[in-house]
Amino acid sequence: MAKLVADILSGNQITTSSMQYLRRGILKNKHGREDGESPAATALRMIRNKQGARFSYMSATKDEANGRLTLFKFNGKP
Amino acid sequence: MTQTSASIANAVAESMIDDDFKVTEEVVDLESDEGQYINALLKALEIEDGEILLGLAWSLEEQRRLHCAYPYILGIDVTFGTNAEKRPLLRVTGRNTRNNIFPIAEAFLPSQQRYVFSWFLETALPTILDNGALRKTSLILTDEDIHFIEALLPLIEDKDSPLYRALHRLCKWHKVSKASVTFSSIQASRELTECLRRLCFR
Repeated sequence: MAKLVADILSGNQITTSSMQYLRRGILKNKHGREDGESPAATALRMIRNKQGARFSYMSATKDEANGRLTLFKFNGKP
Repeated sequence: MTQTSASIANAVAESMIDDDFKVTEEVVDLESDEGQYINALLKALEIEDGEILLGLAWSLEEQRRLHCAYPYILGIDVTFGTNAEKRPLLRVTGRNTRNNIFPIAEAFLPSQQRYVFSWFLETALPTILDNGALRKTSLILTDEDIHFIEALLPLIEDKDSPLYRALHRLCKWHKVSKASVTFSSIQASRELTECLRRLCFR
């Protein structure tokens, strides 16, 4: 992170991957995302911790989910 | 009116099944781009104990307060491009007396199939919203998604459902935008487009 900030301040070009790294770092600090935690688990934890929020969710095993998720056009990155 | 809509919806659904729908089983190579995409998607949606999160619906306290104040109109639509996992985001909105739109509830969906909408309308919506306010719903506006309409119409006729006796209508914005697209191919005049707009909005 420090190297990235130094690169930006020194005028080096920001690449797409470095922007992604910066974005992930900010999101991690903002939402307290734990290492190895999936985006779905983060969303569920945030909703659980939100005061006054009501939620309902539907889950399935990996095999069941495999045929139920709509796969949109992909470009290699989900 | 509701029965007519239901029969039309059923007829359209049956014709779609007869003509186009074919069940095919494809084995996806896990080393291919598609296989890697599926694996990455399942990893992103994994929650505790190896379970996969298919759908998540929620409403906040402020949203429920507004819904209790103005419970009569529900607008329901699905949007895309809101998240990295490419899941459809369903949004429920209401209208206040100043004709302003406010959000009531949101849901990430696994797909736009009928069982998903049935889960949302029968299970999720009564859980996350106030049932007393939900019973005051008099008008539900949607686009012409056949799966959503098929999931909604039985609830409108079910006495035990909180959406009993609510009217279902197509959203005016969708009607106007579709009409302008349809008539653009035959170069409709400005007056005709304006007449259609008035017809739809009255």
